[in-house]
Formats: sequence, structure tokens, C-alpha cells
Amino acid sequence: MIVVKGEYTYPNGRTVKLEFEMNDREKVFLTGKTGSGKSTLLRVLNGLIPEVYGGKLRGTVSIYGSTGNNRDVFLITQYPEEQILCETVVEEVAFPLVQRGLEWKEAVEIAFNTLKKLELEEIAEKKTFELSDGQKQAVIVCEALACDCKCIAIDELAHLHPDLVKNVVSYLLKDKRAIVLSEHRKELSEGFDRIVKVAGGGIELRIRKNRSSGKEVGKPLVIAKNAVVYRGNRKIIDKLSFTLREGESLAVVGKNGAGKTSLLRAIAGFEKCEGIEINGKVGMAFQYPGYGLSSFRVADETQYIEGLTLSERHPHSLSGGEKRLVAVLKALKYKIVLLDEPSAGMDEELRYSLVKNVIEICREEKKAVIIATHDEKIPEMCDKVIEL
Amino acid sequence: MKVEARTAILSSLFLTSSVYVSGFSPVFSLAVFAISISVNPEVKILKKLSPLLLYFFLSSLLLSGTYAIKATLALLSILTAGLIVSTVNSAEFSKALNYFGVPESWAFQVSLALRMFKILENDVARCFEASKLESGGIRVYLNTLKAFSAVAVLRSVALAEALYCKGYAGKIPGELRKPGKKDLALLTISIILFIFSIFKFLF
Repeated sequence: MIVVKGEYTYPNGRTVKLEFEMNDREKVFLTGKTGSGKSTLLRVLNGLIPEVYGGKLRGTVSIYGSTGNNRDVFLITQYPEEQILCETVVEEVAFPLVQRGLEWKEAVEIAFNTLKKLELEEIAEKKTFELSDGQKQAVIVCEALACDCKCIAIDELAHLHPDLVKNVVSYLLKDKRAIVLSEHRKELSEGFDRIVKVAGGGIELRIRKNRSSGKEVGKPLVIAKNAVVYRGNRKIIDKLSFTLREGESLAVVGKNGAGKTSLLRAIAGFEKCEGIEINGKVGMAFQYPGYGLSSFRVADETQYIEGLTLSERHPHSLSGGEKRLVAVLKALKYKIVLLDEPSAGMDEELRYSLVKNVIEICREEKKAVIIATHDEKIPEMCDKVIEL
Repeated sequence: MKVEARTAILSSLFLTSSVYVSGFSPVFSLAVFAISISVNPEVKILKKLSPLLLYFFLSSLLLSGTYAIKATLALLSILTAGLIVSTVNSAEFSKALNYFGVPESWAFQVSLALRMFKILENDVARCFEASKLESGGIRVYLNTLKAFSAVAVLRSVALAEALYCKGYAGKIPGELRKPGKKDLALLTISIILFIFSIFKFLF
């Protein structure tokens, strides 16, 4: 049984109220607005708070009769890139097992079997740095499943393709252990015993718009004619054709590793490509939003934020979802806007309101936006869709 | 060629030592360079280090032309011999360090640092790309530095988080494999070269 009742104060003074109960083997779907404290709660469960984060935790925390600990609760955090420690996939999956005292051969056997169950045996021998973010997240789910923990806590599966995420969730639901999945996509809550809504938080999105320009579609900004995109020397995309004009929006969808990010990177000039013509300056919001944030204040990063409470904060002190929001709005400064998974880590309301606003701004200011996404509704909001 | 970890460490040590002991002899430097390149033909990093080699060559010219050639050749061969270790899987490398007496938790931290090096290299490249999109000239480097400083701090926090989440108890994943014929051949050649360098030093 898990019982958490109290409050936690971060070292920076921010206080989050915590109230959560969960029975053994129960499957709980955790929902709530961006910044409501879902991640904080999950970190309390596995002891990251206060063991690693410091701060003050007051009240009752009972995790299977003990305090928050990493033995009973395996936590999968938001950014898969940050959780990978080993060079190959099989080493990565076997890593926690070795730490729990298993012999290497036994750990590898369990790792292979778990990868097989999630149909990931093909990547077992691959190097972890060759994997897409979605594949990395799937590998970390395998690690959790391979362990003998009592509860698996997951802080969003935002990087997985919708088909794969459904497979992973249905597999998790069949597992005999307790599962807590924190997710913004309510459609994934099917099959869970309980939906728990964490109150509070939320970002009021007020975007400054310039309504002086017309709304008509203009000259072509991105032209791809039988385009070929490479990652290193490997051909990732072959014979892709599309034209994106001023004011238009394009959604790029496809499975993990299909080449969505590579296409955006090729348009930005970071990957080798043939047959792509660009007419305008490019701005890009990366999947890991921190790369593009170099100012000391959020207000210095983007002019599109209006009265947002975050304006005076350091961009790197923000939560994952907030940082992504700032990175997306920063990219809007340019004529061609490239957004790599802009909605990951945001609640539904914020996610669609942000994408809707971005598309409107691009239409009004004669910009073109390309959005690489796993979200099923975002392509419906765009003018064009490409499936890789 | 993927060299067995213990063989890689020993061969690398014998090859670099033979260059030192021979007194930067060009013959030994060229022999070490040839052996190392045949083991690890991946020389991309040497291209990246070419400005350093050029700087080293030009500053050595102040002493003498012959010395500059000898010293630069020696540096090149030492770098390539060191790169033999880069062919080894990082977990196997830490197992090998542990085999030679380095405590398990220290050995794992070395392999973790090697892996982090790749991640941070990637982070610098991504920060540079992002900065290039928004600015030009010297500001590209300034913005890269500003973004990377924050990213690197957050990376270290994330690494601590990841280790905690996975219940890190100081144990190294992976196992050592037995050295193959090619591994033993490399070790034998390295030892022979080292012995010759001692003879050169003595006589």
C-alpha cells in the first residue's frame, strides 16, 4: 500500500501539496495540468525527493511500509535521453538487475526475454546512442518491467508513437505490479482501475499577436522535390516531395525512428540532404528544448509571451513542459518555424491552445511552420500532413 | 577491430611507452602509428585534433626542424595508440580496470565519464546548431557557451537521478571476454616493440 499525505517544499521555496493513495497491484492513471505537481509526487514515491533533490517533505509517506525508495518503486522520468547509462540496449536493460545483485548472464537472459515481450529484440544489440528518443523510452520501460520492483511509476510516455504507446500501456496493464502512469493523453486511461486528478498548476497562455498582415497563402518557403535526407551516410528519407508556402502549416508524422527529426534537421541545414530548397531564415524548437535557450530571463527569449508568470525566471529553471513552451515561442521569431514534438509534456488544454496559436500566428505573419509530432489531433489542425 | 579490453589497455600502454623509451625515435613512432591505425582505422578524431598537432609542430620549430618532426610524429603515434582503447565497449573497459585492481565503483565511474563525454559532445553540437540559427559571428560561441553551461549542469543532475532510479550499487554491468588470436598478436607485437625500445635506450 502506498500513502502520501503532506506537502513538499523545493529548495527554491516552491511548495507542492501531495495527496495520494494506492493499493497493491492497482493501476492508477495520474492526470493534471502542466506544473500541477505530478512529477513531484512520482519523485516522492521512489525517494528522489528528498534523497536527491533536498528540500522539506512534511506529512506521511508510506511506500509499502517504508519511506520513498528506489527498490520498491521504479521511476521512468520524462526525458529518455537522460536515463540511458550504458552503451548497448541489452546492457542498459540488464543494468538495474545487476545492481540488484543478479549475475551478468542471468541479467542478460531476463533482459533479452523482456525485450522480446515488447517486440524490441531487433534492437537488443544496438548502441543506445543510435536509438530515437521513442526507442530509448521503450528500452527504459523494458528495464522497469525486467526488475523485481513492486510499483512502476511512469512520468509520461510522450516520446512513443501512438501505436507503440498503446502496446506498452496494454502490456503494463497486464503486469501484476502496481502501475502509476502520469499522462496528459486521456485516451490512454482506458483499462486503468482509477483516474487521479492532481489539482492546481496550469499555465495561462496569453500570446501577443501581430494582426497587421493578411491571411492569404503566399510564396513558397520550403520546396522539397524528390528530396533525400541522410543521417551521417545513411539514407533516412527517399523521394519526398512537398511545397510549403507562407502562412501554411505542415505536420510530419511517422513511427519512432522514421526520420521526422532528421527531416527537420535537414531543413535547418544540420543534416545532409538533396532536393530541398529553403527561402527564409529558419528557427527550430528542439526535442530537448534547453539547447536553444541561452538568455538569463524567459522574457529575453521571446517577444510572444504576454503577462506570463514565468517571464522573470531563468529558462533552464522551468519544468519540462514550460521550457518546451518557451522554446516553441522563441522559434516563432523566424520565417520558417520547425517544431520537434512541441506538445510533449503539456496538458491537453495547453497543448492544443499552443499549436492553434502557433498556426494562427504563422498564417497572420506569413510564416511557415513544420511540426513533427506523435499527437493524433495536431495533424488535423495543420494545412498539410506528411507520413514518413 | 574490436580489441579485448585488457589487451587494449596493455597494448596501448606498451606502445606509448615504447615511443617515450626510444627517445621519440621516428622509426618507433611510425611503427606505433602503423600498428595503431591497423587496429583502429577510425581517425576522425585525429582530423579534429589536427589544429593541435599543427600548433605543436609550429611551436616545436622554435627548437629545431628535426626536433619538430620527431616530436610531432611521437605525439601523433601516442594519440593513435591511446585511441586503441576507444574500440573497447565501455562496460568491458571498466571490467578490465577492475581486473587490474581499480575498485569496482571507480572503474564504473570511468566508463560513465567516457559515456558522458559523448553525450556532452552531442550537447555542445546541438547548442551550437541552435545558436547558429539565431545569431552570427562571435555571438554564436557566446550563446553556445551560455546554453551549454546550463545544459551541462542539468545533465549532471539528470545523471544522478538516473543512477538513483536504477538503484546504482556500484556494480559494473557486462563481462570480460577471453582474448582472441588477433588480441594476443597485438599484445605480442606491442611487447616486442617495447623490448626493442629498451634496447635502443640502453645501447
